[in-house]
Amino acid sequence: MSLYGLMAVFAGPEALIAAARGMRERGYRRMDAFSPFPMKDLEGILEIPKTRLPWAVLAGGIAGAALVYALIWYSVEVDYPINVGGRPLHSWPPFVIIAFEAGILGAAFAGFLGVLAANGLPRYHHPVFNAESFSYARGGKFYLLIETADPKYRKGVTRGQLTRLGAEMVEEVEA
Amino acid sequence: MSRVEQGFLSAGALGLVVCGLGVSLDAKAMLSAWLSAILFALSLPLGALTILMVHGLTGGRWGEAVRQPLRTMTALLPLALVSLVPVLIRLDLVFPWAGADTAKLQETVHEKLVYLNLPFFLLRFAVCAAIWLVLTWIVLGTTDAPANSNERNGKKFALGLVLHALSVSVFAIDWMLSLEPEFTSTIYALCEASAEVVGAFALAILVLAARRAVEVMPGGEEDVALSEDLANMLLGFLLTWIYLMFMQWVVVWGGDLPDEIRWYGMRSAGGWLYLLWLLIALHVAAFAGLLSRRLKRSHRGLVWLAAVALAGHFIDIFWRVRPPLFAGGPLALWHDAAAWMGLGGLWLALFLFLLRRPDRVVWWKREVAHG
Repeated sequence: MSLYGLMAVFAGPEALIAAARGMRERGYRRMDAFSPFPMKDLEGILEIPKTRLPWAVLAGGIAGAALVYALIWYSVEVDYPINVGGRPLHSWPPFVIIAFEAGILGAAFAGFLGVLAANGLPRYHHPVFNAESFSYARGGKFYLLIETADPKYRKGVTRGQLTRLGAEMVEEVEA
Repeated sequence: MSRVEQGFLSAGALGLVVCGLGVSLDAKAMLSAWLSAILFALSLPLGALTILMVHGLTGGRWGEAVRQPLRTMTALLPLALVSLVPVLIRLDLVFPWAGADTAKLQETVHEKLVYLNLPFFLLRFAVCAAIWLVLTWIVLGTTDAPANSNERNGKKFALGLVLHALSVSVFAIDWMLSLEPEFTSTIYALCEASAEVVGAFALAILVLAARRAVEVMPGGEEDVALSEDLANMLLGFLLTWIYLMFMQWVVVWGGDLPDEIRWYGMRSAGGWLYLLWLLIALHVAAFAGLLSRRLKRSHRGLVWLAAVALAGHFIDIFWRVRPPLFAGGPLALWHDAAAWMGLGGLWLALFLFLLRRPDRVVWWKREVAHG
């Protein structure tokens, strides 16, 4: 059985923040924290990158609009040119409306898929749920996870550091 | 009165003198310029009324923040109505259907004279003005509390919005659309109503941002600054206007009828084409800028966005109203400059005065209530 990481349990939010900061100062990078409510301070300590979702939504919107406009252009100019009321084949005013609607659709899709991708979803199981202390029955506390993939990770050393930073319990998490 | 207000007041007085000179030289040209200026000045109180009543029904922190500037704008409604009087006296100089030689009008317009005639026009205007004055009185009286206390006034605001929508429609058709009586557009009144809201809200944001740090005030949700909420509302109002204006254009383009095309033809010929491009550029800039969260969360960014939207609203009204009445070369624009100076000076002096002394708005209301 391979090991995914070490899960340290803390009693309160301050202890978790202090421990996360301490582990970061010791050079750990691949770690994650779990708390029953959002904690703004952790974002800076864990170096959670700023969301790029707005750009994905913008790109989705532009792509949707461009794609549908190109489709209309292809159908009226190339595939099935038909003269309507003497207007030019490429009559952009009404096409803009449909392209705009498609742009909204594209932006919505990009937002939906972007959230899934950014959160690594869909995903059926995550190793942290193997931790006994993280279960529904014993959960509700403040957790700091150090992954074994972290270059600074040494089994005994890391465990000792977490304990010294005030962890109530340190549990090995199987992958 | 502060020195700035005195400065605006004297500039306004000087502008009015020049306007008087303009009337004696060429009354038609001067009144035409005056009309487009006053329609802009009137659009702000009307838009402010709409927003205040909508907020009275919906509530929300965005409206409580901009309530004070909007109330001040609303209080200027009587001034704007009084400023319409010069045009009312000589309607025949401005409106083609009111002229003596109705025989020159198109046949389709002849049938419209059942609606477009002087007595009925004046009656409609009197009814609209009465509705607005009553609404101003009600709105100023019920929104003076700083916190949200609109629960009891819901019915008043709902009925008020219905009346307001009708009166703004009638007014927009009478005073703006009928400048070219051969043109018809059923969406025109809505375009005007939405433009008014954009202008009033943009000015309210500007006033609020000039005095408070809106980018750190709390918004409607956690982690959202008030500036972002206001900017998002502005984006919504702006999109409504863009949508309606685009729809009118697409319908006219689709119909391809000479009477309707002429409305756009006149507004994209000669120098007006530059104005049209400016109008489009301002709104593209406002729309694109309002997508950026960074701009919406910075003080200067928000001020710029609101200023661009307000300038866009001004150009919009000028572009819609001025071309059919304009005669002569670019030099004839001095009439407009005089009208802007006279009206703008007076308007700003009173606006700044009321803004600095919000209690005067209440005083003004009591004065009306008692007598």
